[in-house]
Amino acid sequence: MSTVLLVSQILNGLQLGVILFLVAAGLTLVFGVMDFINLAHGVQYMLGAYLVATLVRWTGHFAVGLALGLAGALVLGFLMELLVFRHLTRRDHLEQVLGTFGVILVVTEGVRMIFGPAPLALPIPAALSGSVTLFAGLNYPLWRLVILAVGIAVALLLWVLVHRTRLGMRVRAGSTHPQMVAALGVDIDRLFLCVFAFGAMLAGLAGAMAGPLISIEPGMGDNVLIIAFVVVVIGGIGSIKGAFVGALAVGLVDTLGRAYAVDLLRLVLSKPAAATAGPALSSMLVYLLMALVLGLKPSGLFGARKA
Amino acid sequence: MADPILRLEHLAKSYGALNVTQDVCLDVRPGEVHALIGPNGAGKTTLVGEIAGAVRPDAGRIVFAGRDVTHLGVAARARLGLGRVFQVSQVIGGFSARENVMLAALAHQGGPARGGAWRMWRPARADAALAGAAEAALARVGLGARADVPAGALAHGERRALELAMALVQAPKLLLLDEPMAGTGRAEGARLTDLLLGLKGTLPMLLVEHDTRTVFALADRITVLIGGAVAITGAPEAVRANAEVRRAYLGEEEAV
Amino acid sequence: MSAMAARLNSKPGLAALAVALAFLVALGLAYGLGSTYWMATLARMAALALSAVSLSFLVGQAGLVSFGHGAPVGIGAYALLVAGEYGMSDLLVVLPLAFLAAAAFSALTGAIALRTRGVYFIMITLAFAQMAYYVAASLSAFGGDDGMALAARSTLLGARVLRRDHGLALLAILLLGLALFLLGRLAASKFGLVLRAAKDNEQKVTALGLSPYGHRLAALALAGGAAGLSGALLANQAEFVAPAYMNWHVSGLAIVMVALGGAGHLVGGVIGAVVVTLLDEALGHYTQYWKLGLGLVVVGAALLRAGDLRRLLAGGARG
Repeated sequence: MSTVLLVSQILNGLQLGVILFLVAAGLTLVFGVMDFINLAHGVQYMLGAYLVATLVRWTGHFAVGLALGLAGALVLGFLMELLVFRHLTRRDHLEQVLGTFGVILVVTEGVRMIFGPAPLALPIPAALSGSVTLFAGLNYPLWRLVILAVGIAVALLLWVLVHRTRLGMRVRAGSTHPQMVAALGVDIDRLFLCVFAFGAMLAGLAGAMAGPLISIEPGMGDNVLIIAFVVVVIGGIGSIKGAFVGALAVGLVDTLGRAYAVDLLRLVLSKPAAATAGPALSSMLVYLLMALVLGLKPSGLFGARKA
Repeated sequence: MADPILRLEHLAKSYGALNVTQDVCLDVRPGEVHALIGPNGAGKTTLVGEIAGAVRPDAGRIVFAGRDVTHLGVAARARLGLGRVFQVSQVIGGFSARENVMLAALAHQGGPARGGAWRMWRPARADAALAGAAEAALARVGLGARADVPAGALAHGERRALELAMALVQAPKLLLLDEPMAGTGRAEGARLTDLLLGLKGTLPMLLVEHDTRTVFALADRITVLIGGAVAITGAPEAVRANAEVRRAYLGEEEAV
Repeated sequence: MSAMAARLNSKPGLAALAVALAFLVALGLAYGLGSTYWMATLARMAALALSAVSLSFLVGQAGLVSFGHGAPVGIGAYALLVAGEYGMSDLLVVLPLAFLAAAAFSALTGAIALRTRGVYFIMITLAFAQMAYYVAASLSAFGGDDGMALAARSTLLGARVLRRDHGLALLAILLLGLALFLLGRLAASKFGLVLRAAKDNEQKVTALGLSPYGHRLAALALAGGAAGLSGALLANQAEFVAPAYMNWHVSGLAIVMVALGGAGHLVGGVIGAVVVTLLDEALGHYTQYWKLGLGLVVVGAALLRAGDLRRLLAGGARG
């Protein structure tokens, strides 16, 4: 097991982790503040990638495209909240699943109609392409480091927003004691609108950051959504800290699992058996992690209340 | 004197530095109505939780019907015969009043439907013994004519009476009443007090109550809880005369 | 619960009979017209309805919104495939096998999942279904990711009763009717009373001395078993088994069916399954983007508080 491989896998895992965090942050707040289960959050991730990729091509400028794309993601978040989600927040979970599942179908198929099923390309800006030598023998892609830096910066920003501002205080209170906050005269609906749109933008940012590394296609939000749910549930619904810890844990477990599952299984299994079981096990690891956490702590690691 | 039906021995519970229950000793004797009173924040709610099995005490012992139940959960204590009426009425809102009482009868081991909670074939409503027991219990609390009304649509006082019927149908060894008068109007409260007076002597009750009028009308003995600890236990007259109690609690209510 | 649902709940036999008859009439028409397409569609519809009915039991009676119902369906399908590879294809063997395999999975995962509530329950059932999906995808002996064709449809005592689609449709309708009847009886029984009470007010049920955990676990196992039968039927219909049976979209669609038809009564699952299948078929004819239409209907239904298509069909709307 070489150090170079291990370090680069750890970096990959952290980078997946921060992407997941960007998606999960909005999800967990919306969950927490409104007890709202939003299956369509993955759609925001996909839309962000499409918006940024398209706008970068139109403007011919990455930074401008990114800024416009994020603004677009924010606007779409506002629109979707006003059109659909607002009307589902006080329903039971079954109706929320119904409505947001419908949104997935509509938006995914809509994007497929407009852009076609072929993947879209989003090139890495020239200045940030290529790789840097971290230490002898390890050349690591610069863009992935950029993702890490952006993710950590956003996490810090969120921490400041949630813990140091008035709005953040309301959001935190709203996610644990919604009745009390409403009783204090805070307009929960408007709070939710802001949180929702902001969460949509963060998911869009995640999609845009991941865009150059994966293929941008209509179904790209699906898998991220499920993993982001895993993150939220592991961390505890409504907890930003939980989302951060959960996202890094899931990112690392998934990445390292994929890299080393076969090798580790070789210790206890025959070579062909390990080769078969390895990929399955590595795909399942994050779900096993979640089942384990919930089995021990039914409200997640930092769950503020029993949902 | 016969053994008490419920005995609390040196119960203690604290949340962090806050001691909400301190060395509480209390017993409920067969047939008596034992009232537990105390000002707000005296730890009544926590103590009710400890007796019911929802809150685990840090120290002490709870003996119910001759058994140490300190480590038993809510359901297990209920099966041993601890009936409960909640502070905020707890009924199955989507069920009719009759179905609510049938459910309670079903849960009562040794009742008309022994082991019946796992019967998967016969329709529940076809069980005449169960329905009969429910009917009788509803009549006992004056809800005979309201049997088919959904519990969620019952008036506040009726819901409380329904909870009482659900407890009675289980033939409890002790009835734990958590502030039954809370939120009731004057007429409702009077009717409820009459109902409880009618039950007095037929089964022991532990009455946790804020309303002193009801307490002095019903109780054989009274325990006063102040700051999580027992200030005094005694007959109503003795409690009424106690200076500490007057200062801490009764002082606020002139009419006593 | 609406008066209609209450009335249907008290007569599980009637509901089962009405559904079975409606399906049989449709099947008779398709047979008379010689439409193999509609016979196949009816077989699929009845099989999907069986899965939706079992989920409707969980959601409506037990209050357990499982987001992993695709897993027992897929496990039923794989039970059929695996048994077939070992030369067992008689319905009297494979159906019980599919039921037991799916019920065992549901009970084992349910034992852990039931420790959680609400959203956490929805998510943990999804996680277990994903695990089942990846296990299936790793079974390289059974086609791995791509899945595998069945060697042949199941037989009954050596007779190839399912060779034609109307035979399969008859079996599916029989099982659907049976499930409606048995789950309906179960819902009306004392067991069902406890389940529904615990859904409504768990705290009170516990204070009455009942522990709903066992009831819920049994409900999960039984519903899972029924879903397994649905999977065995679907596998026979497609003559193909793949991990895609357990895709989370399938689980989501099952919830859509239940919610569309209304979770208040088991028949709601049938209605939802029929509506979704018909939309699929109808829109699929006109546009490759049929999911867009389905999505619009689903979002519309959720926003209109339809939740319960029967109310709309009956012309009644709730504020």
